[in-house]
Amino acid sequence: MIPALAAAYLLFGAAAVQDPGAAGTAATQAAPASGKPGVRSPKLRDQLLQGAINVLLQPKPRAATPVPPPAEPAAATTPAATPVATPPVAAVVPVPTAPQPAAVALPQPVKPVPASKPAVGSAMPITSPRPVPRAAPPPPVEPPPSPPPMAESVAPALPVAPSVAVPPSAVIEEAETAPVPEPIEPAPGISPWLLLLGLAGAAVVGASGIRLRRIRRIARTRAALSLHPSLDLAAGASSVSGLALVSPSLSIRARLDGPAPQHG
Amino acid sequence: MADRVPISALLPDRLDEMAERVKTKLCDDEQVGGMKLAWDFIGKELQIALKSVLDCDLLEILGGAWAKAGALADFADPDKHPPGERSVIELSSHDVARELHPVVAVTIASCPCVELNFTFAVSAHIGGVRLSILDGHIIGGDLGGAWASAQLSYEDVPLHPASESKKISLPGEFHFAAPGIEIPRLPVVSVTL
Repeated sequence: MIPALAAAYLLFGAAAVQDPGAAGTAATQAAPASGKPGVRSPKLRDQLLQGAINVLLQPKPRAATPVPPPAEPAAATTPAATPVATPPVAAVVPVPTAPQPAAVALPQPVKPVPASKPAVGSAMPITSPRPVPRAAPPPPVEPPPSPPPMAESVAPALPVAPSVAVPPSAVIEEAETAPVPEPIEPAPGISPWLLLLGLAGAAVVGASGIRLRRIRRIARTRAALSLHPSLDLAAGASSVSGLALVSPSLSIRARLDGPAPQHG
Repeated sequence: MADRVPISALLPDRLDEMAERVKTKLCDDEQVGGMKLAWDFIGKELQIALKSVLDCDLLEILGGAWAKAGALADFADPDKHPPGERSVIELSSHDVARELHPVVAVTIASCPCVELNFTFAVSAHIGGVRLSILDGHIIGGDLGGAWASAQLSYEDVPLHPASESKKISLPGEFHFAAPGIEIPRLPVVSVTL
């Protein structure tokens, strides 16, 4: 954090040298003047300031922080630009015009840079990197592992170009973009289907074990069990309710008589 | 002609409580209680044993109840109805109740035998019936309409809800095997009018 603040101070000082139009800005009043006022570029100052703020907002340092490529003017206002991917201070990134951040304290102007100076009071956009006194590189900042909600929360407040940590050297050491933190993935070599198969196999084995124990228990019970049922129909109570003869009974008797006696 | 209807058809398909009750009774023996037995299997075996012993014709059960009714007692008197005389009588709508007591002797391994006494109460409603009587025996008849249900109990505790018993209708003619169902000469069943 402290190295980042120091770097920001140095950056602001360097930017203030080239920023003649800093009057009225609170940032210019906050930083002490270390040198005679010189040519100043408000836009460069703003861009450098944004980069420094991004550096300060990084959660933890990153081992290798590649410097993002120079951002396009259109991309400068893209919230998707990942301020999380902060390049190291050693790289210089030419930043195009960016909207001025709100309520940002700008440092006091410092010694003017002997390199190509823009006209005093001009608002020309910086198209080439400018050499500045080398400052202590801030600690490398690593992007957070999660997708950048921070970027979204930060981006509306600081709609700037891809983060810029202005280094003292004028050489861009890394041009590749910061890698986006990848989502958490399962261990390599283990597919979800294999996991499902494993679970299914375990379930089958467990069920077969339970079934085998039950089969053995039933076999043991069958071998030991003996049943002998019986029923006495003569035993037991019997009752009839509401029984009555509907009509007189009909009786039929049949007989076979012998032959009729013969007279004579 | 009415087909033979076994009274075991009145039992419900599942008797889950019977296994629990039998287990409680049999586990009074500590040796049986210490065994790891499949009690649900024992319950199913008991149900099969009961069905086999209750394989009696329902119409014979009803005929026995009619034969013991006081209204048919005169037909057993040979003076009033000599041998060879065929009689036909018609009975009004009435209800018949009959209790049977199947017994299942259970032996597990070398443990002492335990007898399980069940009560099987059969209830039937007869819409009307004409009976044929010969030589003091009911030889057949014609049912106008009838249905029957039953309740199985163990130690006076019902083993299933009454609503789960099956109801069977009994239409059509029926005949009993010769000589038929004997009518006692003296009435042994109280008739409630």
